[in-house]
Amino acid sequence: MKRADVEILLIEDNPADIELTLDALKRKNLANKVKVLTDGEEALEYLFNSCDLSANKAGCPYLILLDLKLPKVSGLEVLEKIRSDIRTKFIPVVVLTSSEEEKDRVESYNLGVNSYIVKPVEFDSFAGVVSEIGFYWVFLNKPPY
Amino acid sequence: MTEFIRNSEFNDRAYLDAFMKTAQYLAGLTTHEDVWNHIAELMVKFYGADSAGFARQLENGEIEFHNLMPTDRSCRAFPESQEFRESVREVLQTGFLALRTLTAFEGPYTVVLLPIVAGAETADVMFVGHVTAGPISKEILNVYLAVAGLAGTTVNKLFSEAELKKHRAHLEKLVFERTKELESFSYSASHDLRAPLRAIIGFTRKILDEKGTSFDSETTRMFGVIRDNAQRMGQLIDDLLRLSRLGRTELNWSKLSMEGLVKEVLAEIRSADPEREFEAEIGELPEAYGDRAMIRQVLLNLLANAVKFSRGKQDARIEVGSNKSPGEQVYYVRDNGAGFNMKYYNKLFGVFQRLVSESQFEGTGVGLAIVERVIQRHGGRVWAEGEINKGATFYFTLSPKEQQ
Repeated sequence: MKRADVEILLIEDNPADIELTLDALKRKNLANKVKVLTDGEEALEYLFNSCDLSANKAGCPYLILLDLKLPKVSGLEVLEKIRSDIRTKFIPVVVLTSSEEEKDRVESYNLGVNSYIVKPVEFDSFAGVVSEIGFYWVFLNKPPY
Repeated sequence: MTEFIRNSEFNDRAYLDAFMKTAQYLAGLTTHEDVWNHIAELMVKFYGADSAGFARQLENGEIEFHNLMPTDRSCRAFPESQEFRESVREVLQTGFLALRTLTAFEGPYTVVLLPIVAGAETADVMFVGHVTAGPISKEILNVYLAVAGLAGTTVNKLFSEAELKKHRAHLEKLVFERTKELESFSYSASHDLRAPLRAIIGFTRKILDEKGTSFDSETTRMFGVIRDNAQRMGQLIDDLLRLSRLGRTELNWSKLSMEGLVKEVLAEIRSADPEREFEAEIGELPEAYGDRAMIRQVLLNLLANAVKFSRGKQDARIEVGSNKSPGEQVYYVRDNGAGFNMKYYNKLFGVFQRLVSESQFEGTGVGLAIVERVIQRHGGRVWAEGEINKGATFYFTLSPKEQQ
Protein backbone atom coordinates (compact mmCIF):
# COMPACT_ATOMS: atom_id res chain seq x y z
CA MET A 1 0.00 0.00 0.00
CA LYS A 2 1.36 3.40 -0.89
CA ARG A 3 2.33 5.79 1.84
CA ALA A 4 -0.32 8.26 2.83
CA ASP A 5 -0.04 11.92 1.94
CA VAL A 6 -0.75 12.84 5.51
CA GLU A 7 1.12 10.60 7.92
CA ILE A 8 0.34 12.46 11.10
CA LEU A 9 -2.77 14.46 11.83
CA LEU A 10 -2.15 16.92 14.64
CA ILE A 11 -5.33 18.20 16.25
CA GLU A 12 -4.23 21.02 18.50
CA ASP A 13 -5.35 24.62 18.98
CA ASN A 14 -2.46 26.16 20.92
CA PRO A 15 -0.12 27.81 18.36
CA ALA A 16 2.93 27.53 20.60
CA ASP A 17 2.33 23.84 21.17
CA ILE A 18 1.82 23.34 17.42
CA GLU A 19 5.15 24.97 16.66
CA LEU A 20 6.99 23.04 19.35
CA THR A 21 5.39 19.78 18.23
CA LEU A 22 6.43 20.38 14.64
CA ASP A 23 9.96 21.25 15.82
CA ALA A 24 10.11 17.99 17.70
CA LEU A 25 8.82 15.97 14.74
CA LYS A 26 11.48 17.58 12.52
CA ARG A 27 14.09 15.89 14.68
CA LYS A 28 13.00 12.54 13.23
CA ASN A 29 12.23 13.89 9.78
CA LEU A 30 8.54 13.48 10.40
CA ALA A 31 7.41 17.04 9.86
CA ASN A 32 6.84 16.88 6.09
CA LYS A 33 3.62 14.94 6.08
CA VAL A 34 1.89 16.49 9.05
CA LYS A 35 -1.47 18.16 8.79
CA VAL A 36 -2.50 20.50 11.55
CA LEU A 37 -6.12 21.21 12.39
CA THR A 38 -7.06 23.52 15.19
CA ASP A 39 -10.55 22.52 16.19
CA GLY A 40 -12.48 19.30 16.69
CA GLU A 41 -15.20 19.99 14.18
CA GLU A 42 -12.76 20.75 11.40
CA ALA A 43 -10.77 17.63 12.25
CA LEU A 44 -13.80 15.35 12.00
CA GLU A 45 -14.87 16.95 8.74
CA TYR A 46 -11.41 16.43 7.28
CA LEU A 47 -11.19 12.82 8.43
CA PHE A 48 -14.60 11.74 7.17
CA ASN A 49 -13.95 13.37 3.81
CA SER A 50 -10.49 12.07 3.15
CA CYS A 51 -10.38 8.72 4.88
CA ASP A 52 -12.51 5.60 4.54
CA LEU A 53 -10.98 2.39 5.82
CA SER A 54 -13.99 0.36 4.69
CA ALA A 55 -13.53 1.47 1.09
CA ASN A 56 -9.76 1.07 1.12
CA LYS A 57 -9.26 4.75 0.51
CA ALA A 58 -5.65 5.59 1.17
CA GLY A 59 -6.19 8.96 2.83
CA CYS A 60 -6.00 7.83 6.45
CA PRO A 61 -3.15 9.08 8.61
CA TYR A 62 -0.93 6.61 10.45
CA LEU A 63 -1.34 8.58 13.60
CA ILE A 64 -3.64 11.15 15.09
CA LEU A 65 -2.11 13.31 17.81
CA LEU A 66 -5.09 14.62 19.72
CA ASP A 67 -5.26 17.39 22.28
CA LEU A 68 -8.22 17.16 24.66
CA LYS A 69 -9.04 20.80 25.15
CA LEU A 70 -10.25 21.99 21.79
CA PRO A 71 -12.70 24.62 20.63
CA LYS A 72 -16.20 23.53 19.51
CA VAL A 73 -15.85 19.75 19.63
CA SER A 74 -13.69 18.49 22.50
CA GLY A 75 -10.91 15.98 22.07
CA LEU A 76 -12.88 13.27 23.85
CA GLU A 77 -15.83 13.81 21.50
CA VAL A 78 -13.52 13.65 18.51
CA LEU A 79 -12.12 10.39 19.83
CA GLU A 80 -15.58 8.97 20.34
CA LYS A 81 -16.66 9.88 16.80
CA ILE A 82 -13.51 8.42 15.26
CA ARG A 83 -13.93 5.16 17.13
CA SER A 84 -17.61 4.74 16.40
CA ASP A 85 -17.34 5.23 12.63
CA ILE A 86 -16.36 2.32 10.43
CA ARG A 87 -14.38 4.64 8.14
CA THR A 88 -11.99 5.76 10.89
CA LYS A 89 -12.23 3.40 13.82
CA PHE A 90 -8.82 1.71 13.40
CA ILE A 91 -6.69 4.84 13.10
CA PRO A 92 -4.16 4.96 15.93
CA VAL A 93 -4.97 7.87 18.21
CA VAL A 94 -2.56 9.18 20.81
CA VAL A 95 -3.92 11.73 23.22
CA LEU A 96 -1.30 14.39 23.85
CA THR A 97 -2.55 16.69 26.55
CA SER A 98 -1.63 18.83 29.53
CA SER A 99 -4.23 17.08 31.63
CA GLU A 100 -3.10 14.53 34.16
CA GLU A 101 -6.63 14.23 35.50
CA GLU A 102 -7.75 10.70 36.15
CA LYS A 103 -11.17 11.24 34.62
CA ASP A 104 -9.64 12.34 31.31
CA ARG A 105 -7.27 9.40 31.28
CA VAL A 106 -9.88 6.83 32.17
CA GLU A 107 -12.41 8.27 29.73
CA SER A 108 -9.85 8.28 26.91
CA TYR A 109 -9.08 4.59 27.41
CA ASN A 110 -12.76 3.94 27.77
CA LEU A 111 -13.24 5.41 24.31
CA GLY A 112 -10.43 3.28 22.89
CA VAL A 113 -7.39 5.53 22.75
CA ASN A 114 -4.12 3.79 21.82
CA SER A 115 -1.96 5.80 24.17
CA TYR A 116 -2.28 8.69 26.58
CA ILE A 117 0.66 11.06 26.96
CA VAL A 118 0.92 14.05 29.30
CA LYS A 119 2.86 16.83 27.60
CA PRO A 120 5.98 17.51 29.63
CA VAL A 121 6.56 21.15 30.46
CA GLU A 122 10.29 20.88 29.92
CA PHE A 123 11.22 21.23 26.26
CA ASP A 124 13.76 18.43 25.88
CA SER A 125 11.38 15.95 27.44
CA PHE A 126 8.53 17.27 25.33
CA ALA A 127 10.55 17.07 22.13
CA GLY A 128 11.78 13.60 23.05
CA VAL A 129 8.30 12.31 23.77
CA VAL A 130 6.74 13.75 20.61
CA SER A 131 9.45 12.53 18.27
CA GLU A 132 9.40 9.06 19.79
CA ILE A 133 5.64 8.77 19.49
CA GLY A 134 5.84 9.91 15.89
CA PHE A 135 8.60 7.49 15.01
CA TYR A 136 6.94 4.57 16.73
CA TRP A 137 3.50 4.93 15.16
CA VAL A 138 4.60 6.01 11.70
CA PHE A 139 7.58 3.73 11.14
CA LEU A 140 7.48 0.84 13.60
CA ASN A 141 3.83 0.18 14.08
CA LYS A 142 1.89 -1.76 11.43
CA PRO A 143 -1.68 -0.53 11.12
CA PRO A 144 -4.44 -2.90 9.93
CA TYR A 145 -4.73 -0.93 6.70
CA MET B 1 -50.84 6.64 83.32
CA THR B 2 -52.36 6.72 86.75
CA GLU B 3 -53.71 9.75 88.42
CA PHE B 4 -50.55 9.99 90.32
CA ILE B 5 -50.77 13.27 92.10
CA ARG B 6 -54.42 13.14 92.92
CA ASN B 7 -54.21 9.71 94.53
CA SER B 8 -50.96 10.19 96.36
CA GLU B 9 -50.14 12.09 99.43
CA PHE B 10 -48.79 15.45 98.42
CA ASN B 11 -45.31 15.18 99.75
CA ASP B 12 -42.00 16.28 98.33
CA ARG B 13 -41.07 12.75 97.45
CA ALA B 14 -44.19 12.29 95.32
CA TYR B 15 -43.53 15.55 93.47
CA LEU B 16 -39.99 14.58 92.82
CA ASP B 17 -41.00 11.17 91.47
CA ALA B 18 -43.66 12.67 89.26
CA PHE B 19 -41.30 15.28 87.99
CA MET B 20 -38.51 12.79 87.28
CA LYS B 21 -40.89 10.58 85.34
CA THR B 22 -42.08 13.56 83.35
CA ALA B 23 -38.50 14.56 82.59
CA GLN B 24 -37.57 11.06 81.48
CA TYR B 25 -40.63 10.88 79.33
CA LEU B 26 -40.01 14.22 77.63
CA ALA B 27 -36.35 13.45 76.98
CA GLY B 28 -37.36 10.79 74.47
CA LEU B 29 -39.54 13.07 72.35
CA THR B 30 -38.30 14.33 69.02
CA THR B 31 -40.83 16.86 67.72
CA HIS B 32 -42.42 20.00 69.13
CA GLU B 33 -45.86 18.63 68.43
CA ASP B 34 -45.10 15.54 70.54
CA VAL B 35 -43.88 17.71 73.42
CA TRP B 36 -47.08 19.79 73.47
CA ASN B 37 -49.33 16.76 73.11
CA HIS B 38 -47.68 14.69 75.75
CA ILE B 39 -47.41 17.44 78.33
CA ALA B 40 -51.09 18.28 77.98
CA GLU B 41 -51.93 14.63 78.29
CA LEU B 42 -49.67 14.23 81.35
CA MET B 43 -51.24 17.19 83.09
CA VAL B 44 -54.68 15.65 82.79
CA LYS B 45 -54.02 11.94 83.11
CA PHE B 46 -51.01 11.93 85.40
CA TYR B 47 -51.16 15.11 87.46
CA GLY B 48 -54.95 14.99 87.75
CA ALA B 49 -55.85 18.34 86.22
CA ASP B 50 -59.26 18.69 84.58
CA SER B 51 -57.90 20.39 81.51
CA ALA B 52 -54.63 21.54 80.01
CA GLY B 53 -53.36 23.18 76.85
CA PHE B 54 -51.15 25.82 75.31
CA ALA B 55 -51.48 29.25 73.81
CA ARG B 56 -49.17 31.46 71.81
CA GLN B 57 -49.33 34.81 70.12
CA LEU B 58 -49.26 34.86 66.35
CA GLU B 59 -47.45 37.50 64.34
CA ASN B 60 -50.69 39.36 63.72
CA GLY B 61 -51.26 39.66 67.47
CA GLU B 62 -53.98 37.01 67.64
CA ILE B 63 -53.79 34.42 70.40
CA GLU B 64 -53.79 30.86 69.13
CA PHE B 65 -54.71 27.89 71.32
CA HIS B 66 -53.32 24.47 70.62
CA ASN B 67 -53.05 20.92 71.92
CA LEU B 68 -56.00 21.22 74.22
CA MET B 69 -56.86 18.38 76.62
CA PRO B 70 -59.33 16.86 76.98
CA THR B 71 -60.34 17.15 73.38
CA ASP B 72 -64.03 16.58 73.89
CA ARG B 73 -65.32 19.27 76.20
CA SER B 74 -64.55 22.18 78.48
CA CYS B 75 -61.37 23.41 76.88
CA ARG B 76 -63.12 24.52 73.77
CA ALA B 77 -64.62 27.30 75.73
CA PHE B 78 -61.25 28.87 76.53
CA PRO B 79 -60.55 30.44 73.17
CA GLU B 80 -63.97 32.01 73.19
CA SER B 81 -63.33 33.82 76.41
CA GLN B 82 -62.02 37.33 75.81
CA GLU B 83 -61.02 37.51 79.46
CA PHE B 84 -58.92 34.39 79.15
CA ARG B 85 -57.18 35.68 76.06
CA GLU B 86 -56.25 38.85 77.89
CA SER B 87 -54.77 36.74 80.67
CA VAL B 88 -52.67 34.84 78.13
CA ARG B 89 -51.36 38.14 76.72
CA GLU B 90 -50.48 39.30 80.17
CA VAL B 91 -48.48 36.17 80.99
CA LEU B 92 -46.68 36.40 77.65
CA GLN B 93 -45.73 39.98 78.42
CA THR B 94 -44.78 39.69 82.07
CA GLY B 95 -43.45 36.13 82.14
CA PHE B 96 -45.16 35.57 85.49
CA LEU B 97 -47.51 32.81 86.51
CA ALA B 98 -51.17 33.84 86.74
CA LEU B 99 -54.25 32.34 88.37
CA ARG B 100 -57.72 33.01 86.94
CA THR B 101 -61.12 31.84 87.96
CA LEU B 102 -63.29 31.70 84.88
CA THR B 103 -66.98 32.29 84.72
CA ALA B 104 -67.59 30.70 81.36
CA PHE B 105 -68.24 27.32 82.88
CA GLU B 106 -70.91 25.85 84.99
CA GLY B 107 -69.54 26.01 88.44
CA PRO B 108 -66.20 27.45 89.51
CA TYR B 109 -63.22 26.77 87.33
CA THR B 110 -59.69 27.81 88.22
CA VAL B 111 -56.99 28.02 85.60
CA VAL B 112 -53.23 28.32 86.18
CA LEU B 113 -51.38 30.09 83.38
CA LEU B 114 -47.69 29.29 83.25
CA PRO B 115 -45.01 30.95 81.10
CA ILE B 116 -42.87 28.71 78.92
CA VAL B 117 -39.55 30.42 78.35
CA ALA B 118 -37.62 29.80 75.15
CA GLY B 119 -34.36 31.68 74.95
CA ALA B 120 -34.82 35.02 76.67
CA GLU B 121 -38.54 35.49 76.18
CA THR B 122 -41.82 33.89 77.00
CA ALA B 123 -42.90 32.23 73.80
CA ASP B 124 -45.82 30.10 74.95
CA VAL B 125 -48.26 29.82 77.79
CA MET B 126 -49.28 26.54 79.33
CA PHE B 127 -52.57 26.48 81.15
CA VAL B 128 -53.92 23.91 83.57
CA GLY B 129 -57.56 23.97 84.70
CA HIS B 130 -59.20 22.60 87.83
CA VAL B 131 -62.91 22.36 88.53
CA THR B 132 -62.64 24.07 91.87
CA ALA B 133 -63.05 27.49 93.31
CA GLY B 134 -59.47 27.33 94.50
CA PRO B 135 -57.21 28.00 96.05
CA ILE B 136 -54.69 25.73 94.37
CA SER B 137 -51.98 24.66 96.76
CA LYS B 138 -48.54 26.16 96.51
CA GLU B 139 -47.02 22.70 96.14
CA ILE B 140 -49.07 21.95 93.07
CA LEU B 141 -48.24 25.34 91.58
CA ASN B 142 -44.58 24.61 92.11
CA VAL B 143 -44.88 21.28 90.31
CA TYR B 144 -46.69 22.98 87.42
CA LEU B 145 -44.00 25.62 87.22
CA ALA B 146 -41.36 22.92 87.13
CA VAL B 147 -43.19 21.12 84.32
CA ALA B 148 -43.52 24.37 82.38
CA GLY B 149 -39.79 24.87 82.85
CA LEU B 150 -39.17 21.39 81.58
CA ALA B 151 -41.38 22.03 78.57
CA GLY B 152 -39.34 25.14 77.79
CA THR B 153 -36.06 23.26 78.11
CA THR B 154 -37.28 20.42 75.92
CA VAL B 155 -38.57 22.75 73.24
CA ASN B 156 -35.32 24.69 73.34
CA LYS B 157 -33.34 21.50 73.03
CA LEU B 158 -35.35 20.41 70.01
CA PHE B 159 -34.91 23.82 68.48
CA SER B 160 -31.12 23.73 69.01
CA GLU B 161 -30.95 20.25 67.57
CA ALA B 162 -32.85 21.35 64.50
CA GLU B 163 -30.55 24.37 64.17
CA LEU B 164 -27.49 22.19 64.52
CA LYS B 165 -28.79 19.82 61.92
CA LYS B 166 -29.43 22.72 59.58
CA HIS B 167 -25.93 24.03 60.22
CA ARG B 168 -24.36 20.67 59.63
CA ALA B 169 -26.23 20.24 56.36
CA HIS B 170 -25.13 23.73 55.34
CA LEU B 171 -21.51 22.98 56.19
CA GLU B 172 -21.58 19.72 54.32
CA LYS B 173 -22.97 21.54 51.31
CA LEU B 174 -20.22 24.15 51.59
CA VAL B 175 -17.51 21.51 51.82
CA PHE B 176 -18.98 19.79 48.80
CA GLU B 177 -19.02 23.03 46.83
CA ARG B 178 -15.50 23.98 47.88
CA THR B 179 -14.23 20.55 46.91
CA LYS B 180 -15.87 20.98 43.52
CA GLU B 181 -14.26 24.39 43.16
CA LEU B 182 -10.90 22.97 44.12
CA GLU B 183 -11.33 20.20 41.61
CA SER B 184 -12.14 22.57 38.81
CA PHE B 185 -9.27 24.80 39.89
CA SER B 186 -6.71 22.03 39.82
CA TYR B 187 -8.16 20.81 36.55
CA SER B 188 -7.63 24.17 34.94
CA ALA B 189 -4.28 24.48 36.69
CA SER B 190 -3.12 21.25 35.17
CA HIS B 191 -4.37 22.29 31.77
CA ASP B 192 -4.15 26.00 31.45
CA LEU B 193 -1.16 26.94 33.58
CA ARG B 194 1.21 24.42 32.10
CA ALA B 195 0.62 25.28 28.46
CA PRO B 196 2.05 28.82 28.68
CA LEU B 197 5.00 27.54 30.68
CA ARG B 198 5.75 25.00 28.03
CA ALA B 199 5.75 27.80 25.49
CA ILE B 200 8.09 29.98 27.61
CA ILE B 201 10.50 27.13 28.18
CA GLY B 202 10.29 25.81 24.62
CA PHE B 203 10.75 29.15 22.93
CA THR B 204 13.57 30.23 25.23
CA ARG B 205 15.22 26.99 24.28
CA LYS B 206 14.60 27.68 20.60
CA ILE B 207 16.16 31.13 20.92
CA LEU B 208 19.22 29.66 22.60
CA ASP B 209 19.49 26.85 20.04
CA GLU B 210 18.95 28.95 16.94
CA LYS B 211 20.40 32.34 17.89
CA GLY B 212 22.56 31.47 20.87
CA THR B 213 25.85 31.81 19.02
CA SER B 214 25.25 35.49 18.30
CA PHE B 215 24.56 36.38 21.98
CA ASP B 216 27.13 37.55 24.44
CA SER B 217 27.48 35.46 27.55
CA GLU B 218 25.35 37.80 29.70
CA THR B 219 22.38 37.55 27.30
CA THR B 220 22.72 33.78 27.25
CA ARG B 221 22.82 33.73 31.04
CA MET B 222 19.67 35.82 31.30
CA PHE B 223 17.77 33.56 28.93
CA GLY B 224 18.96 30.71 31.10
CA VAL B 225 17.44 32.42 34.15
CA ILE B 226 14.10 32.72 32.34
CA ARG B 227 14.16 29.07 31.39
CA ASP B 228 15.20 27.84 34.84
CA ASN B 229 12.50 29.83 36.58
CA ALA B 230 9.82 28.71 34.22
CA GLN B 231 10.90 25.15 34.83
CA ARG B 232 10.74 25.71 38.54
CA MET B 233 7.26 27.11 38.23
CA GLY B 234 6.27 23.99 36.34
CA GLN B 235 7.57 21.92 39.24
CA LEU B 236 5.65 24.01 41.74
CA ILE B 237 2.43 23.57 39.79
CA ASP B 238 2.96 19.82 39.56
CA ASP B 239 3.65 19.56 43.30
CA LEU B 240 0.64 21.66 44.16
CA LEU B 241 -1.55 19.49 41.98
CA ARG B 242 -0.18 16.37 43.61
CA LEU B 243 -0.97 17.83 47.00
CA SER B 244 -4.52 18.75 46.03
CA ARG B 245 -5.09 15.36 44.47
CA LEU B 246 -3.97 13.69 47.70
CA GLY B 247 -6.72 15.50 49.52
CA ARG B 248 -9.52 14.23 47.33
CA THR B 249 -8.65 10.76 46.06
CA GLU B 250 -10.16 7.98 48.09
CA LEU B 251 -7.89 5.86 50.21
CA ASN B 252 -7.43 2.33 49.03
CA TRP B 253 -6.78 0.43 52.27
CA SER B 254 -4.68 -2.70 52.32
CA LYS B 255 -2.12 -4.45 54.43
CA LEU B 256 1.32 -3.02 53.73
CA SER B 257 4.73 -4.52 54.11
CA MET B 258 6.58 -1.45 55.35
CA GLU B 259 9.90 -3.21 54.99
CA GLY B 260 9.16 -4.07 51.36
CA LEU B 261 8.09 -0.50 50.64
CA VAL B 262 11.17 1.00 52.26
CA LYS B 263 13.48 -1.30 50.29
CA GLU B 264 11.64 -0.49 47.07
CA VAL B 265 11.89 3.25 47.67
CA LEU B 266 15.58 3.08 48.64
CA ALA B 267 16.31 1.16 45.45
CA GLU B 268 14.52 3.86 43.47
CA ILE B 269 16.53 6.60 45.17
CA ARG B 270 19.79 4.75 44.56
CA SER B 271 19.05 4.14 40.90
CA ALA B 272 18.19 7.82 40.38
CA ASP B 273 21.67 8.79 41.54
CA PRO B 274 24.00 5.77 41.53
CA GLU B 275 27.03 7.95 42.34
CA ARG B 276 25.62 9.08 45.64
CA GLU B 277 26.97 7.12 48.60
CA PHE B 278 25.12 6.62 51.85
CA GLU B 279 24.60 3.87 54.32
CA ALA B 280 21.04 2.73 55.02
CA GLU B 281 20.05 0.71 58.01
CA ILE B 282 16.60 -0.83 58.07
CA GLY B 283 15.40 -1.89 61.50
CA GLU B 284 12.36 -3.90 62.37
CA LEU B 285 9.33 -2.58 60.45
CA PRO B 286 5.98 -4.14 61.34
CA GLU B 287 3.22 -4.32 58.76
CA ALA B 288 0.76 -1.47 58.55
CA TYR B 289 -2.61 -0.64 57.03
CA GLY B 290 -2.93 2.11 54.51
CA ASP B 291 -3.10 3.22 50.91
CA ARG B 292 -0.07 1.66 49.27
CA ALA B 293 0.62 4.42 46.73
CA MET B 294 0.22 7.17 49.30
CA ILE B 295 2.34 5.56 52.02
CA ARG B 296 4.95 4.85 49.38
CA GLN B 297 4.92 8.57 48.54
CA VAL B 298 5.40 9.39 52.25
CA LEU B 299 8.39 7.06 52.50
CA LEU B 300 9.82 8.38 49.24
CA ASN B 301 9.57 11.99 50.42
CA LEU B 302 11.07 11.25 53.83
CA LEU B 303 13.87 9.06 52.52
CA ALA B 304 14.67 11.37 49.61
CA ASN B 305 14.87 14.23 52.11
CA ALA B 306 17.15 12.20 54.36
CA VAL B 307 19.42 11.44 51.42
CA LYS B 308 19.30 15.01 50.14
CA PHE B 309 20.05 16.69 53.46
CA SER B 310 22.91 14.37 54.33
CA ARG B 311 24.62 15.19 51.05
CA GLY B 312 28.22 16.29 51.50
CA LYS B 313 28.36 14.62 54.88
CA GLN B 314 31.07 12.08 55.48
CA ASP B 315 29.57 8.71 56.44
CA ALA B 316 26.06 9.80 55.55
CA ARG B 317 23.79 7.43 57.35
CA ILE B 318 20.05 6.85 57.10
CA GLU B 319 18.14 4.81 59.58
CA VAL B 320 14.58 3.53 59.22
CA GLY B 321 12.91 1.81 62.13
CA SER B 322 9.99 1.62 64.47
CA ASN B 323 9.08 1.96 68.13
CA LYS B 324 6.14 0.28 69.73
CA SER B 325 4.27 2.63 71.99
CA PRO B 326 0.97 1.79 73.64
CA GLY B 327 -1.87 1.62 71.15
CA GLU B 328 0.14 2.73 68.14
CA GLN B 329 3.11 1.90 66.00
CA VAL B 330 5.64 4.67 65.48
CA TYR B 331 7.82 4.56 62.37
CA TYR B 332 10.80 6.83 61.95
CA VAL B 333 13.33 7.95 59.34
CA ARG B 334 16.57 9.38 60.73
CA ASP B 335 19.56 10.95 59.06
CA ASN B 336 22.80 12.52 60.27
CA GLY B 337 22.67 15.37 57.77
CA ALA B 338 22.06 19.10 57.85
CA GLY B 339 19.25 18.89 60.39
CA PHE B 340 17.11 21.90 61.24
CA ASN B 341 16.63 24.40 64.00
CA MET B 342 13.68 23.45 66.24
CA LYS B 343 12.96 27.19 66.47
CA TYR B 344 11.43 26.97 62.99
CA TYR B 345 9.57 23.73 63.66
CA ASN B 346 6.18 25.34 62.96
CA LYS B 347 7.24 25.99 59.36
CA LEU B 348 8.49 22.50 58.72
CA PHE B 349 5.29 20.98 57.32
CA GLY B 350 3.88 24.13 55.69
CA VAL B 351 3.23 24.26 51.95
CA PHE B 352 6.03 26.08 50.09
CA GLN B 353 7.83 26.64 53.40
CA ARG B 354 11.50 25.96 53.24
CA LEU B 355 14.05 26.11 56.02
CA VAL B 356 17.04 26.11 53.68
CA SER B 357 17.86 28.19 50.64
CA GLU B 358 17.35 26.90 47.14
CA SER B 359 21.06 27.21 46.44
CA GLN B 360 21.91 24.93 49.38
CA PHE B 361 19.34 22.21 48.84
CA GLU B 362 16.92 22.17 45.91
CA GLY B 363 13.22 21.56 46.39
CA THR B 364 9.80 23.18 46.17
CA GLY B 365 8.75 22.93 49.80
CA VAL B 366 5.83 20.64 49.20
CA GLY B 367 7.31 17.26 50.16
CA LEU B 368 6.65 17.44 53.89
CA ALA B 369 3.25 19.03 53.37
CA ILE B 370 2.38 15.98 51.31
CA VAL B 371 3.70 13.72 54.08
CA GLU B 372 1.55 15.46 56.65
CA ARG B 373 -1.56 15.40 54.47
CA VAL B 374 -1.24 11.68 53.76
CA ILE B 375 -0.58 10.74 57.38
CA GLN B 376 -3.50 12.85 58.56
CA ARG B 377 -5.79 11.19 56.06
CA HIS B 378 -4.68 7.86 57.50
CA GLY B 379 -5.66 8.97 60.99
CA GLY B 380 -2.04 9.12 62.11
CA ARG B 381 0.34 11.78 63.40
CA VAL B 382 3.65 13.07 62.12
CA TRP B 383 6.32 15.00 63.98
CA ALA B 384 10.06 15.61 63.86
CA GLU B 385 13.14 16.35 65.85
CA GLY B 386 16.24 18.02 64.52
CA GLU B 387 19.45 19.74 65.36
CA ILE B 388 21.57 21.84 63.01
CA ASN B 389 24.37 19.76 61.46
CA LYS B 390 23.50 16.75 63.59
CA GLY B 391 20.57 15.45 61.57
CA ALA B 392 16.81 15.06 61.69
CA THR B 393 14.34 12.36 62.65
CA PHE B 394 10.83 12.20 61.25
CA TYR B 395 8.27 10.10 63.07
CA PHE B 396 4.84 9.04 61.96
CA THR B 397 2.08 6.76 63.14
CA LEU B 398 -0.65 5.02 61.21
CA SER B 399 -4.00 3.81 62.49
CA PRO B 400 -3.52 0.35 63.99
CA LYS B 401 -6.48 -1.13 62.19
CA GLU B 402 -8.02 -0.85 58.81
CA GLN B 403 -10.69 1.80 58.86
CA GLN B 404 -13.32 2.87 56.43
